[in-house]
Amino acid sequence: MKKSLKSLLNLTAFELDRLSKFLYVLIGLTFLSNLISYIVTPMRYISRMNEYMSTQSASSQQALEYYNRFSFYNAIDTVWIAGPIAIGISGFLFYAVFIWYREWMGKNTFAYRLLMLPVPRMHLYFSKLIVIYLGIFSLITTQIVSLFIGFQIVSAIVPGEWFANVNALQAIQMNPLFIYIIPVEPMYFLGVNGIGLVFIIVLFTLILMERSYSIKGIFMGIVYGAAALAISLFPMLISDIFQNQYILYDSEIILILTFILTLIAITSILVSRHLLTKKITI
Amino acid sequence: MTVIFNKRDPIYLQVITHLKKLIVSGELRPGTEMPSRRQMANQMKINPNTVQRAYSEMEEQRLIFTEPNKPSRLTEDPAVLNQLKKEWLNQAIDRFVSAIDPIDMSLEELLPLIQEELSNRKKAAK
Amino acid sequence: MIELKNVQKQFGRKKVLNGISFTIEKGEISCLVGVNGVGKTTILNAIMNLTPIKKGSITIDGKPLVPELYNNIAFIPDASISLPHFTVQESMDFMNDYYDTWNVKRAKDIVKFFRLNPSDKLRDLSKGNQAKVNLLLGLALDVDYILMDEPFSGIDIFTREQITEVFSSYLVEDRGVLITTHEINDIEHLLDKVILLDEGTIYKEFNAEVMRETEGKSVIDVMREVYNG
Repeated sequence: MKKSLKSLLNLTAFELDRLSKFLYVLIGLTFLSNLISYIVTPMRYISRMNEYMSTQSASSQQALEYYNRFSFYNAIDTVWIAGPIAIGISGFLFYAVFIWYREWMGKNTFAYRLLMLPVPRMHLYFSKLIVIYLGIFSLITTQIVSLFIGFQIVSAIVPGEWFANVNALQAIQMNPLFIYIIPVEPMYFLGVNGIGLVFIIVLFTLILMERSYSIKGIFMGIVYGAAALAISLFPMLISDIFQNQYILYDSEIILILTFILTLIAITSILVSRHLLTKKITI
Repeated sequence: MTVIFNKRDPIYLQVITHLKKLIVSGELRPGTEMPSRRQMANQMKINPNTVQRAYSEMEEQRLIFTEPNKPSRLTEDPAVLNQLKKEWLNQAIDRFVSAIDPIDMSLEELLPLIQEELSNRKKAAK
Repeated sequence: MIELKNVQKQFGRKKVLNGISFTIEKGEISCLVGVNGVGKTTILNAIMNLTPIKKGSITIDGKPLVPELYNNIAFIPDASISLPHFTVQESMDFMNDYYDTWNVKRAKDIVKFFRLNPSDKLRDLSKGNQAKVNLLLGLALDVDYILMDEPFSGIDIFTREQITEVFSSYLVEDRGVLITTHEINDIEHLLDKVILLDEGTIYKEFNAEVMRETEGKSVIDVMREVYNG
């Protein structure tokens, strides 16, 4: 058992090392893009205020009445913040596929080596799954750190009397984007990440179906994916089916959804295990 | 020790012939320690199982012998060695005679030719 | 002993293996011979559980292959099985991390034997040297069985000579070796068992030395009869 755990850790460290370049690029991109937002947005506000005061010969007070105080929220409600998040999400979606297909790519079929390791093949599966989540959480951490650094930058740039009394956390909570990716509201955060995890687990199963049965596997994958999606949407449709909006409480729907998603995840992992140990073709 | 093997005769027999030649020529002296199965296979670039087969055949012919936990040695038994030389000579003569058989020549005519060839070879060897 | 019993395999409608049975014994060098595309590689992949079979059974010392057994059976495919950005040393370290049977000393000997430089990156190596790294990664394992897929394909003559030397060395001694090849010329004097394969079926299986002794035929003679006759 102890040896088995060691091999899983080894494999995870190995996968993490292979992810690192990709992750560094995403982290760098996030910081850089965010920095632009933290500097450019307040500067633009200041120049607008100054322009208003000079063209309208208005006082600072009058300009504030016209433009409102600048809050940190203004600095993070921009494409410079949302952009890297979108790139990060699509990047990891891509990586979840790439992490498997890379082993079969080109002349260097590293899949030979990995599949012939004297460790349970599910270790390969879990190391890949864990690494994707390590990557995602690293990026989320990057985003959180960036926001707190950003708050310092913005408050240093904007003159005190123009800066709204909204702290970093409040500003973050105001932005609907962050509810999902930063654990300010634990339930939302857990929900989104839970759905994301099940999504990747299902995606892994589809990939392994294709790797095991090639073209036939693609069709199997489409059917399996569609079935998983239909079953997960079912709780949301209950009220429509029975034409009664009040048949279930929201909390009951969430409970059913959680149950269904757990079921889908377990089934997918079992199917993946079967494919990986018995059906996969080099 | 590079030997070129032909592909149609059993390799182990070719190995034995090669070793016998070394014995009758004196290159392998009586009582010499034989290389291990592995060493010999490596030197001749052949399968160790083939060497094994050749060795056991030679053991049967009492050309080599093995004491427990010791490397095999070449025999020192003069009877066996003489027998081998005789055998080698018989084979050579047999081959020679059948090769010249089609030509009608008497022994008297042949002898000087053989002598000449022998002395040529000795010169070449020097 | 590795034992294949009535192994069948299909790709779509196409039957690739049509009831293959043979054994690989420890201490013997066996060779699967056949032109390209007759299922040699598929047989090796099937033994290594790298592709499923439709029917039949494959056992290693009486047991089906479980991951632990990869410590006891090494496969050297005809494709690079390390990462191109790895150095030779890193490739060896990777093996050492996972395999109980990785033999560091033997690995060092093989590096020396093949005159490889441990700090070279694999992607900078010639095809011949890449093949040597592949051999290194398989041969340095203390295993009972070694499978090699086309160890001589696309390799220059000097590398080929070096690789041939492996088969008469301690590196394969007492192990069960299975090689596939479509060119037998350089190695026929090294083989114990020869298995001639065509269209997913075994045409003939024989011991090369016995064939020479009883019928006076070389392996190539037999192949000529089987494939042309």
